[in-house]
Amino acid sequence: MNRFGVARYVAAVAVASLTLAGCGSSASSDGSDAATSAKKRTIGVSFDLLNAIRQAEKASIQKAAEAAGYSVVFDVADQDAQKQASQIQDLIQTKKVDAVIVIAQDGQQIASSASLAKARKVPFLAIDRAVADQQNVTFQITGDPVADGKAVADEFLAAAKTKPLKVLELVGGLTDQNAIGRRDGFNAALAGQPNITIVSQVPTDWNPTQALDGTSNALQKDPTINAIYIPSDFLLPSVQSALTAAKKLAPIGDPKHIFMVTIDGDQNGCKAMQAKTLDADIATPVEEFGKQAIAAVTTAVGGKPVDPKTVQAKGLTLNQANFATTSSQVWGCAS
Amino acid sequence: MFEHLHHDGEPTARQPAVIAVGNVSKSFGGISAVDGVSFTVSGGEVVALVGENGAGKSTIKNIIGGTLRPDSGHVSFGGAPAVEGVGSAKHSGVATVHQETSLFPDLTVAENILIDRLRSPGRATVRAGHLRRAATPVLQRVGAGFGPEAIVRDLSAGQRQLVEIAKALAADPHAIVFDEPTASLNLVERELIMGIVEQLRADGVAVLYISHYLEEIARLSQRVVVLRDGRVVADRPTGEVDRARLESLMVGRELAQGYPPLAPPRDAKALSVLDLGDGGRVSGVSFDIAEGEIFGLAGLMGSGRTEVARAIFGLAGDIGRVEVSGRQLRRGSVRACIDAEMAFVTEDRRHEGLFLDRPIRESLSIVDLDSVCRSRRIGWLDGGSEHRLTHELASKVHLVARGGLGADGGSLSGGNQQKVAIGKWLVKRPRLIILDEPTRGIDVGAKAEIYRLLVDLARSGTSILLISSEMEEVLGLSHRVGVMHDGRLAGILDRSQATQESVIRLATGGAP
Amino acid sequence: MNPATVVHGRLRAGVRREPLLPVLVILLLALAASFQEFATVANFRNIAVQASPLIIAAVGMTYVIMTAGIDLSVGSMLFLAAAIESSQAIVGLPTALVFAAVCAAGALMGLLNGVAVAFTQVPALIVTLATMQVFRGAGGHITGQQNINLPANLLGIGTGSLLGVPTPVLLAVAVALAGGFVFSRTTFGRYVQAVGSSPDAAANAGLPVRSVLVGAYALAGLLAAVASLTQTARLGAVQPSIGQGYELTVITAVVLGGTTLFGGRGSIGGTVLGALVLTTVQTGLVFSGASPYIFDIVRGSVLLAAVLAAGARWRNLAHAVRLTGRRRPSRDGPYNSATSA
Repeated sequence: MNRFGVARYVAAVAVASLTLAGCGSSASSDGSDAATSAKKRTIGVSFDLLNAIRQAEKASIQKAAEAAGYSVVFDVADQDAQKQASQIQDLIQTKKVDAVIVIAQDGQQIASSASLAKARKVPFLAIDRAVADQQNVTFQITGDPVADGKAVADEFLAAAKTKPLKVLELVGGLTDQNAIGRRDGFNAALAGQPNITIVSQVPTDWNPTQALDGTSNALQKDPTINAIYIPSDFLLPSVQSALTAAKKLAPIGDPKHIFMVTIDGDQNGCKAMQAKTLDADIATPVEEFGKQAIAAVTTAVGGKPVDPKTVQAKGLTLNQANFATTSSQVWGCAS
Repeated sequence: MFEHLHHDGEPTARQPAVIAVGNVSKSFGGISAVDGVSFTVSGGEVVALVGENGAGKSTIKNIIGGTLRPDSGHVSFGGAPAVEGVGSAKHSGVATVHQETSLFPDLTVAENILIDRLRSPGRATVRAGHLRRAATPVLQRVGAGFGPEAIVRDLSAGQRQLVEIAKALAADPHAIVFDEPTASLNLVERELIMGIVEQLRADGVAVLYISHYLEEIARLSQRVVVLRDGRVVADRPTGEVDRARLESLMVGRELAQGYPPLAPPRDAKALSVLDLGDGGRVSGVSFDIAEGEIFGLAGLMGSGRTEVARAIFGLAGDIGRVEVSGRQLRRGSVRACIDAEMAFVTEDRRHEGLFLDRPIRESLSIVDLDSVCRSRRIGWLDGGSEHRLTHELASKVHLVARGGLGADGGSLSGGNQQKVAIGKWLVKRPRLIILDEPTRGIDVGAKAEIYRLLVDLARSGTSILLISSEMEEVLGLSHRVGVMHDGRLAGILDRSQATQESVIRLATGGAP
Repeated sequence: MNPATVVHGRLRAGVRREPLLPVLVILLLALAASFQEFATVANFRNIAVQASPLIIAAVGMTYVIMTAGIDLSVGSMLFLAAAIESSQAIVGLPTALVFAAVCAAGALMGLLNGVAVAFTQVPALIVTLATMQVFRGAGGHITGQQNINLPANLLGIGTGSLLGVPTPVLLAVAVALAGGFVFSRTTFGRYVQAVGSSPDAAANAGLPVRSVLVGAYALAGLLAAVASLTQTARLGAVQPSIGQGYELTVITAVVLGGTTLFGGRGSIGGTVLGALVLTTVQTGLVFSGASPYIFDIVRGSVLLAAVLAAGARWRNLAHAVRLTGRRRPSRDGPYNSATSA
């Protein structure tokens, strides 16, 4: 085989494997109507994984994109940073999308995808999870973990007016900025408060089993705990199981009721709010993510710089008082 | 520099002894390994260090070599006291040739030889050409049949020993300690090594020669130091001690001499091998063994003796036909051989003969666990049964286990390990036992016991295929001797015809 | 010999065999003394319940490690078993059938590992590294990466109790006893230890080495599924992150308990103690109110200390015994039935 023959063979294999890699978990492109407008723009979306909140984020992006007249191609990287990098590469180089919206699996490694986008003059937007190196990022909107932690603290402060609180604080993965922010915001707001004591800080590493065991142990150590801060609805079922086992899961009004506040706003949280076993839930502003990201895309493809480039959107407090009016805005409550 | 030795053993060197061990003692965990050992080795002198396993030879070797520090006493080289550490011995020009090789299997021969001098002098890099050039002459000196680029892993045990010796010689030492250098070598190679030792002595090097082979010691050494239970019990010129005296000094009691008398074999054939091959070098091997016969298999290293054994025992393919007591044997299956009441005691007892880190009792019972089961269906073992069975087996082979049968296999001496390796097959008297180098590295007392065991087994009707590189052993124990050469059976000698010369002639490809 | 010496001797032999026992006892006493609420029945029940799935999975892992192998896929097997339990096809079946199906699935997963290890030259580390990904991916596919709540009838195995003893604890005790019995008193257990100690010696003695390997891994898979049943029942729901990183905890429990990664040496009792020590340390950390950053450091240090102590002890012991063993007892008879362990 002469040199060119080999090169062609190699190139064919390379293209085939890249395409296959990209095909991994990509959903077919949405909104692929026989568009009359030849210039219908396409947005490539790359998610790190697909769970309940990601479904809501996907829906929010879709809604905003449709309203703005964009079509969307959607990929999931199954928590594999390498896979995400090759999927984004495929979106930019093969599918030639006009913009890329990313939820990064690895905030550091995503930088290579960002610089590829920059090189191809494709706007690169990040939502939900922060990207470490901002220089090639067109726009980023994330939650505000510190503000969310403070919002939780506000609920605790309100509740502490009627009786002193002894708090069990669960902490998420210690290498996760979100977990750290949510913990710090909470702790800072409660510093020096006389009526509120944090008696136990239990690390969970975002592991449901650790949350379950840690909660059981903390309750065992101090049976007078009457309040729990759960930094994500993801851990709520575990805490509920631990409380049930200790016969301490009770709705508001019951003297055994333990005051609990979570963050995220998913289906479990909403259900617990309805059952009145959960006192408040700081919901992730999923609608804002979609709306502002698409707005930023429009600005960017129009050639204008996006300002502000980085947005931290506060969560929406859903508590027993405002449940009736606010629940419709919480993504986990939408059926 | 060093005076040439007179043959009456009187060293006339006027320099301080090259190696001087002075009142050295060492204990491990409260148990004394050596106690008050003193002796010297001068330049141009070969001093033999003999003793049974556990007598302290390895400890002394390690103390001289610097890997162990004595609790009391001192070691000095050429008058200067030794500084601690392996480097010190090397620095003083003392090299050690180890028994359990200290080579790196995945590196080349040259790399191994020059392992502490890999960089070319004056340069920052390792250059293959330099390694090759430096290693080749010393390889020639030991008569190696392989080159410096060979990978150690591919070499046989005997060849690795040659690399060990080359490594020691490459440092051009004033003194060399040899630890069982000929243990895995055949006759021809042993001669070569002994020639090297002789030459070293002539060159004025001081040689400390640790060996079990009393004939070699008689030939090579001027003085013999005998260790027993960690103490020096004799330090005499070689000419003054004969073999029997030496053995009794080592063991502490009188030993019966020679090999036990053989009983004549029976008429029936126990094993019939026809056109055996292993898919490699060995092919066309055919012979029979009668019931109660000891059939020795001799030959040079690499002639295929172990391969024949492995092929018979289902470990190396299924070429050829094997019949056991007239019934055809299913080839290629170890289980089929065991069911046909065959047994195989392999060359590598430590890794293939018993379990070093399991209780001795488990190594003894492993072949036939079914026989000590309370319930065969679920395999429920009966501890009491197992204890009784293994006690029995242990007495049959005269096993000495100080820590009891519950101690680890690794705690046994080599000889006792070999007894375990043999003993585990004796639950039911086997029809045929194949033994590959059964007494290699085993002390005199244990050897005698194993010989007696084998002869007794033969007398009771068991056939024995005995593979051994020790000519004396093969000639002394076998009814007939088969000689392998280059993968083929060159000839079969009857006991009356089998002599060292006739065996070697066949082994080297000569006509019978 | 007076009774006190006999007892003392037995105690010392026992401690030498299971050095973790006094460690556990001291740990429990120290924690009970420091924290008021530690020494309560409720707390010990908690510790036992929390340790149970770990004990079950670790018993299986002990068999695998005894063969000088390793199984990195145990966490993923836990997840896949839970995913299968919650899948449409299985979750609606009668309870007993669900449990049987999940156990069968576990055994199959283990079988896959075992066959790959026994019949190819690929090291167990690599094989199970690969199946770790495969199983997790399969589980993710089945659950669609969602949380799936389990119906009430499947929760009893984790939250229920019989005669006051929580069900997970009963399961763990049963598995430990059965596992220990098979390990030390049956042919299979003996073969596992022989294969781990020296595969060559085992082959030469006619042992069915491949079958033994397959059996060990299949057992590990089965027990991972059992552990999953009880663990997931406690959680009440199947979540995508179940079992992530669990393999390290399980292996730590086994190694802590005295089984060496080189195979051939170990005990089920040690593994149980290892799991209990780990769980007690975890609980103790929560009780102590230590900073969350300390948790991982303490856990790692416990393992390091135990392994170092074990190494030193064995080396000295082995050396001393080797010397005694080799002494030529010219005064004694040829063989004496000495005191055996």
